[in-house]
Amino acid sequence: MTRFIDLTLNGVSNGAIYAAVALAYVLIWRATRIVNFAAGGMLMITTFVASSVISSSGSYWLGFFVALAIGFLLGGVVERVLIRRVEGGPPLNAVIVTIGLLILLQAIAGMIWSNTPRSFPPAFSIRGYHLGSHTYLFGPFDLFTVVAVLAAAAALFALFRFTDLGLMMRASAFEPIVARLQGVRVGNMLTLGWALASMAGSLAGLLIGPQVFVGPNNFDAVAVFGFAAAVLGGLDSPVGALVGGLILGLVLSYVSGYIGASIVTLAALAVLVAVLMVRPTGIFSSAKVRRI
Amino acid sequence: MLEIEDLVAAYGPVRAVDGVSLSVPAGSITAVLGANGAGKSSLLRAVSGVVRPRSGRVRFCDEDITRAKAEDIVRRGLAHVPEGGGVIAELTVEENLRLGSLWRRDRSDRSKALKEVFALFPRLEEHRRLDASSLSGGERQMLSIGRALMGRPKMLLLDEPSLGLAPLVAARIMELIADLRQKSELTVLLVEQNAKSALRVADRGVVLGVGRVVAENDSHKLAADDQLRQAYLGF
Repeated sequence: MTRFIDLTLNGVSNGAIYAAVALAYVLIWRATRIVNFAAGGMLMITTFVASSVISSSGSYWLGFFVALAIGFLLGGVVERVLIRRVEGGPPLNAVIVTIGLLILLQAIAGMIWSNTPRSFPPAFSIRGYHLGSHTYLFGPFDLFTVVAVLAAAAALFALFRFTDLGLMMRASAFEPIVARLQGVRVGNMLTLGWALASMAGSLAGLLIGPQVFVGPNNFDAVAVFGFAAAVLGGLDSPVGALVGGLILGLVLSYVSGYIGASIVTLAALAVLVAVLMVRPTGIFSSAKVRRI
Repeated sequence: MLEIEDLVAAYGPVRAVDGVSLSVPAGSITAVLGANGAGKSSLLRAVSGVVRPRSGRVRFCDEDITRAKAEDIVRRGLAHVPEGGGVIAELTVEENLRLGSLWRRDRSDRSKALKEVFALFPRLEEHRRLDASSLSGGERQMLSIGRALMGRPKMLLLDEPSLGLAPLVAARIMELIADLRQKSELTVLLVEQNAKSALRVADRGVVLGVGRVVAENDSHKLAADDQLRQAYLGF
């Protein structure tokens, strides 16, 4: 029983991270109908930046917030400079651009920071809480992870739901032409959507960094898990991203605990395939099926 | 108020608007008539900046807006209500309305405008918290006209406001357009396939045939021209 509780707790904290990555995909999909295959590369860059800032300044929190800020900027710049040119064009163009960007970012990271993975500090202790004689697989840093992701999701929800800016962003995502006719500067809203998405990804990078270490290719798995979680949640629903992340986190944790850690990636792909076969629009999607 | 000169708008090689000139005097209702595919909607899209005109000129309140962006043209007071209304189904009724005024700085006047629109369309106030997708066709049309009014425009471009509505509802929309002109001194460019009901409220009519103006006259004269009616207007 304690093993089940441990795996559940571990699933929740990893699921929160997958949810943050899923948010990065979902916000971009909603705004521009593009799957950002560079998401893993972008959060890898910002985590490297955090690592450099932390080691040179000695302050974890300085690195943490610099990484979030850089993530915000990086997302906005990528949209303005690269994505703007392929928006509204054939979907394949955007796919190729984002995959190209991923490869480029990984190469640049290798040149600047070397290809040897380095350790990354957690914000709080990773030692599990004790209860009686048992030490749970859930410590202060896991608690921070869950709280940070929930806070980020709540902030996004409040932005979309209760502010004029959020209303303009939603209108731009649903009906760009109609939004322009209401005076909304849709281009700026898309840039902001990418910036916020990239910031959510940066948060995920900071939270998963201590587990996977920081290296050019070390975030590939979490990028795939996040994508699976986003698809599970329906790709265009932020709430779906959260739920999808948690479900995937739990499933992978049970698979890893009861069957074996080596097939975790396989299990994530199995979940992805199963969702696409049974319910291709995801659990929370409002998307209408297009018949051709 | 609006002068269109030799306007050409094209989708690839297809010239949907092929050298149209017309002018809309301030305070008038001008109807643009013609069959499906005559270029009526494309004309409005080119004027409001949704489609960039290939050549020609558009002047609004004596300023050139030919190459202006849609989001800037609405700021000058020229509001376009697209075909079908362009109601955003995922937003609530009130959110749709508020969207029409967000570009304006004056927050207190924004809420004043909302009250005025609710006074004009009490049905919208009753349903303000519901998703716009739950509205009927007529209510959607009212919502999209109300949303345009939220920006306090000088002129409305209306694209087939009676399309797909029951005759009684369509008649009410036409009445509303006439009322708006009278009470709010709005200038209206009204695109309609239903020529008969459009000419009833319009002062002047312009008939389009495949991207070009084929006739232009006072409404009652157009309605009395048998040949034109049979060839282009279908009544």
